[in-house]
Amino acid sequence: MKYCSLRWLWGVLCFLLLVPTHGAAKEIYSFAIVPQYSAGDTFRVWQPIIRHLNDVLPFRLALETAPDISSFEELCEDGQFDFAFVNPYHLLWLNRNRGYEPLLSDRSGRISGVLVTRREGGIANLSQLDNQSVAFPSPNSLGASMMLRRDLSEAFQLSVHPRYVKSHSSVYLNVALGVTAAGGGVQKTLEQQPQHIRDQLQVLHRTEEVPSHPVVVHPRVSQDARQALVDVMLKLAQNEEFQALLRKVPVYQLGPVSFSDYEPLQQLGLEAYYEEQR
Amino acid sequence: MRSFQTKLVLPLVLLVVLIGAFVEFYWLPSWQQQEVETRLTEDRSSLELLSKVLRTPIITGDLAAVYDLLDQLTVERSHWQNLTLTREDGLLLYPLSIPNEALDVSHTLKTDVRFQDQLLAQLALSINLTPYLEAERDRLRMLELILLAVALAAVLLIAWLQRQLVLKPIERISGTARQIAKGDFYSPIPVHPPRSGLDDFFHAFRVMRDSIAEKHEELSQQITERKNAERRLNDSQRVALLGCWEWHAEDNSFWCSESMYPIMHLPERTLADYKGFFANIHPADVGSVKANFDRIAEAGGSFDVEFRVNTANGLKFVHMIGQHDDNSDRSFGTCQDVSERKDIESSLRKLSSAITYSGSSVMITDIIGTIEYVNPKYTEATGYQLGELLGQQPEILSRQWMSAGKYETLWQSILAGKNWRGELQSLRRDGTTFWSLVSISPIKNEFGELTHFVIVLEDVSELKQAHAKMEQLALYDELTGLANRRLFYSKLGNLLDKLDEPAQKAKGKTGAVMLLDLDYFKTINDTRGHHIGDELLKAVARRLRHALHEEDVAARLGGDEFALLISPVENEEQVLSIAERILAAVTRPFNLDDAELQVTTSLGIALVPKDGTEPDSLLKHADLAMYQAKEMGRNQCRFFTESLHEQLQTYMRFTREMPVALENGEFLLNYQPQVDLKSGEIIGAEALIRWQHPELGLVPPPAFISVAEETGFIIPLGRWVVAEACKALRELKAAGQGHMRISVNLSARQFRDPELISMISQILADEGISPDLLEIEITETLLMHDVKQAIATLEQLQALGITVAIDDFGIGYSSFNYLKTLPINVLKVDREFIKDIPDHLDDMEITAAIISMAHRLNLSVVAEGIETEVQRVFLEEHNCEYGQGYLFSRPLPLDQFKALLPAPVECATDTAE
Repeated sequence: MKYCSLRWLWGVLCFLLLVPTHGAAKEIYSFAIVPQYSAGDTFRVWQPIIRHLNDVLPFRLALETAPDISSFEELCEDGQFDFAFVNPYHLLWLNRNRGYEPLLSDRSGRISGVLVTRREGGIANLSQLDNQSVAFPSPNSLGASMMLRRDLSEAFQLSVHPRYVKSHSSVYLNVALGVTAAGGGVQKTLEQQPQHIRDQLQVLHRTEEVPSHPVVVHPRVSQDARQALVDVMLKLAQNEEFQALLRKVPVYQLGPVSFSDYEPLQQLGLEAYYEEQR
Repeated sequence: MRSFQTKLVLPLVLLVVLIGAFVEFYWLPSWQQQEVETRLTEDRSSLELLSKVLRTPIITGDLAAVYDLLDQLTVERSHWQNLTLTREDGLLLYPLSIPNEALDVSHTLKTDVRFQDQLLAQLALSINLTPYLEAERDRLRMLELILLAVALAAVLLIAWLQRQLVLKPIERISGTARQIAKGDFYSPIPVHPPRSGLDDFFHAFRVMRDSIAEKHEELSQQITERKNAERRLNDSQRVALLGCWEWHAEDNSFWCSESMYPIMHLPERTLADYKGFFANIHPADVGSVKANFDRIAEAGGSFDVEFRVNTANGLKFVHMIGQHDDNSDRSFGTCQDVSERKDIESSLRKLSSAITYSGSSVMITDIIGTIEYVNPKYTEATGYQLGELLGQQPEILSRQWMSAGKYETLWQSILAGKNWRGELQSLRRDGTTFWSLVSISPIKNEFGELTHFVIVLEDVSELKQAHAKMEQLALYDELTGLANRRLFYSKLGNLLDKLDEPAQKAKGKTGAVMLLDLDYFKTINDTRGHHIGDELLKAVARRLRHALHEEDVAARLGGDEFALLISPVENEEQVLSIAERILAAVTRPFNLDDAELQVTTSLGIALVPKDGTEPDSLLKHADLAMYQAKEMGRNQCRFFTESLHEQLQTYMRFTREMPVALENGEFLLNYQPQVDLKSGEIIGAEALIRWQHPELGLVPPPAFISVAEETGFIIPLGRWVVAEACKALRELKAAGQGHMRISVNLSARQFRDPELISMISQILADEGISPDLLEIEITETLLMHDVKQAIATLEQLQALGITVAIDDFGIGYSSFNYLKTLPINVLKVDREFIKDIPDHLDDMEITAAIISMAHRLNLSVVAEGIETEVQRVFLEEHNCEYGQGYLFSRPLPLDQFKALLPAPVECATDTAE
């Protein structure tokens, strides 16, 4: 017993001796990821990327996320994260209220929300969804939730029962299992689903395109650090291996962005569909 | 050993098998059962937990989370065949579809997912534990097999190690133990494997082995020592002729040692008993021996007895000691054969008696010469009492009575353990001494150390006296007491030997040999008688002795010849003074038989070593010198000189050459005419010998006659002269001069030649010469040697008809008194008397007296050496019949002589020159 406690004490001592030297050498910045998928998948995708970045960066990035999108947004809005990979619409709020700036984003294409139904669920047109339950990842998901709900409500005059099932994956599962009649996602996440799930789904509706998720930075982060992250990520994006990792996010063509790229979102009339988290 | 190993290994093998069986048949099934239970319990609780976890995602519709969780669980738990989540209304939430294939399901578990008693969904789990259990069982079996194999290997290893580390060493050490049992303690103890754990065992074994060996060694040694001691005791007893015995009077048991059997003359190999022990004791002694036994058995104490034992070879003596020990009530003792001691004692008694009653004086001293014993003969011979001598040092061995050299030799010899024998002077009690022949024998003890000297003395005083007398006779002249020739030669030899010594040479001191004889001793002897002659010799000897130093030697060589050895001498002057002293001593008148007698002597001196290094040469040289002294007129001394030496050389040369010269006809006769002084006619001649030497020319007679005389060559030479003279007579006769007479000189040696008469008569006969034509001339000294013999010879010559003339008359001790007794016809007056005529009246008177005397004795007279007419007239006037000399003619060869003679027919009145 005594031996064990001593060992434990030794471990602590070693940790105390070693960790501060690393800390002193490298500053730590938090890098938070919006949980579009389940927490496990989120880590599986991002952990290798962060490891690559940490190898090169003059500072250290600590990967963070939250159990679900709502709680993530809550933490974001508290301004807790130095860097974050966030919902584009959420950027509008964060920029306005917390001063976050976008740095990088996928320049290959823009996000479009998709409404999927079960292929053998018997729903062939949108009208059949009236009064039906529809699964969405979270209320504030731009393409998958806000844009679709606006379209269903305003363009098709349909009343649905939204069911927020935490993540895009849950959306597609709920639809595939027939728990909900339809579900809202984005094209990118749909493409990321396993084949046997995608086989069971069909897209009934697509929204107009919106910009992809950006990497944002809190105003307290120095310009050097921002620049360093941008430089490093852009440089690594030339690397084949790193590109493969980014494709799982998915990001196909990383490039620098500015807030102006996201300003048009304010014109989409989505305020009614945005839910404050606090 | 193998069975032992089997016994050790078999239980281990059995144990392994049992454990294997236990694991296989008991533990494995029960473990399986238990494992199933555990699994099911675990899965059930997992399912319960899952139901709680899934509650929220189901409510929120977060199916992604549900799938995430369940997929992961299903993947992690392989035995989960099928996990289904069915909504309360029967909608299958998980998985997306039920697989069609049949499943091996061993167990099915179900649980509800509830929220506040509301059933949300149902979890159903199909489990197949069989593959898992089989896999586990296989794994365990493999483990089991490995364990068994390891156990088996361990058993084999143990067995092998057992064999290598324990059994084999034990086997080897067993072999060593067997060898030890056989008595081999020194085979090496086998090496045991290191770290076998048998170190202590091996060490203990070694210690045990060493201890046993040591004990064994000690025991063997003790046994050997005991045996040796026993053997030694037996040996020593046997050698000492000693035995021991023991007797218990109570039960009459008796024991005696083996060595006792020969002592008591008991038969070997029979056990002696008390009675048998006494069997061979002499009947006269047995009683007392037994009495002693009985006495100490009863009363204790000890005894000591000697008795006799009968043996086949006679009696032997045994000495027995006995003692009784009261504590053990036994008697014991020893017996010793003392026959030899008895014999020795007897012998010693005899020897002691022999010494005591010996006719010789015997003395025994210890090693430093202290007297321990003298026999009665010694006390008798010396007059000492025994008590006076014991403890004293014997005078005989003291330094006082012998020379230092002898003393040293004697003591060195006897202290070296050698016998010494020699003559020593002994002292009598009255202080007189006597000579003894002493024999000293050192006596050694048994260790070879000198302990005593036995001195045996024989009184040899008389013997010594006799010996001295004999020595005197052998080395001394009986008449005079001087050394004889032998001793003189010996002394001279000693001196010459000493000269060779470097010390003597360095001193430069020499010696001198003097040879002298008395002048005319022969005459004295003849005229005064041998008695006076002997007395004279004795007196001369005394004077010589007195004239010399103690260390000088005077010797009589023979007749009147004396030799003196003077040594040392410093120089010739000293020698000369000694010689003159001797001459003076001899010249002093002697009173012999109330008559005074005066003699002179001639003395020749040879110096040592200048004139010779051999006794013979020295004496020869002294002799030559002496003759020279005589020739120079006697009564004087002469040193030997080189010229004398030359004479000697000549002597030797002539000795060698004369016989050859005679053969070669080198000798010749000259004839000096003899003239009738009245008529002036030549009546004859004196034959004078000459030697025509091829190298030296004409050698005069004095030069070689004496040599011929001494060497004896005079005999043949004289014969030749006589023969030659006779030939001359024959020639003269043939020439008609038959009346001529020739005279021939005879030397002393010739005269003594016994063949003389026969030789002359033979020649006369051979030549057919009338003896009256031959005249023999002899000198008067020739007659002095042996007058009787001389007379006899002369008479024989006269008997032959030969005329005998005395030559050189007047110069010797001529005495008319004895002349008249001689059978002679002619007297020749020596030229000494004639030559001084008419100047010396004495000579003229003597000559006249001689002529007158001769005529009175009916002798005709021939005067020699007539050189002048005056002399011839004087002689004629005094009626001297004949004369010869240069006045008439020198000696001539025969032819010339013949020429002087007148023709035969005419009267021989004319004389030639």
